[in-house]
Amino acid sequence: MEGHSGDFIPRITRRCLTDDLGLPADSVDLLIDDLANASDVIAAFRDRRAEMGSPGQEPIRSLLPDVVAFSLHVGRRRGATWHHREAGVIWLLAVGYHREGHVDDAYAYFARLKAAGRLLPDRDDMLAFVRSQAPTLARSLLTDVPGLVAAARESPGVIHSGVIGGRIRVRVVFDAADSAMLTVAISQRLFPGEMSVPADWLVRVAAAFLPDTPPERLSIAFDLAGQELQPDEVAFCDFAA
Amino acid sequence: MLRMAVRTKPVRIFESDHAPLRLLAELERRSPQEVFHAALAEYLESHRDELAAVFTETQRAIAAGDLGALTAQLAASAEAQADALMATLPESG
Repeated sequence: MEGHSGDFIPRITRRCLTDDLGLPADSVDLLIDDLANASDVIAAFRDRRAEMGSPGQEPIRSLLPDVVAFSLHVGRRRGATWHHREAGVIWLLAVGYHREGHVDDAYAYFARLKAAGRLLPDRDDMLAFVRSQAPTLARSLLTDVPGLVAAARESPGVIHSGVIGGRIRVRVVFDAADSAMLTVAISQRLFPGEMSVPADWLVRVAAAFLPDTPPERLSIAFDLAGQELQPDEVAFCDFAA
Repeated sequence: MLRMAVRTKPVRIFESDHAPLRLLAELERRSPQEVFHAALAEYLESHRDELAAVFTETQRAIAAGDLGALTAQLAASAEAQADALMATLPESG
């Protein structure tokens, strides 16, 4: 699952996909658009929650106060959506039919899942989410970074901004003043969300911007073309050929 | 090693590190900033091989246009990231 235009990345727990929506377990690795074709609830989740960035109107009372999830209405079905702010993910946690006063009512079902510790994403869901980011980041390192470097070289002294794989904010500048130098500042905060960029990702992004730099020549920079770095940025530089 | 230009910026250190840092600075007749800077440079030097390995293997994958290798490299820290995310979940749910 990838491809999102809202601030949060849409994900669906494996339990919800299999138990509630009847999809195969490996569908957790599909793109959200492919999943939306398989289920109108997922299509509504994508269109109304993920892309519109709407949290929902009223929290599901049976899940409060631990889990502030919102109800997604699709005909008689109800979905529980939850913003995992640290991860930058909006999860579709569960789906059921609304049958007022019935033991199988969706909201009672959600509460039972929560009591059993099966409502929120588990470690496999987290692992699938994290792994889903790698191909997007890799493609971006191969295709987006050369464009950013070329743009920086074409306009020396001008800071160019980009977001690698939709998750890592970078700023790059080519300084032709004395010895030509390329500097890239990399945010240490993953976007969206509140998590840190893994240290090895920082080094890999730097390597993409400085593909010909021997590691012993890699330097840390403390400014970007004379401008202060953002508090969350780390910057690398090297003389450019 | 990583080269560093010198420019000052406030850094919080553990309270327990303050006394030995001050002691070393006085013994060597250097400022605490200079001792901290030297210690960081030594740390980076001792970890140069790890950093260089990650940097170089990424450069190789990029030079080869090897999307599969690059994807595998970026997924290497997935387990640790998943654990970090699990720690942010509400306790009940």
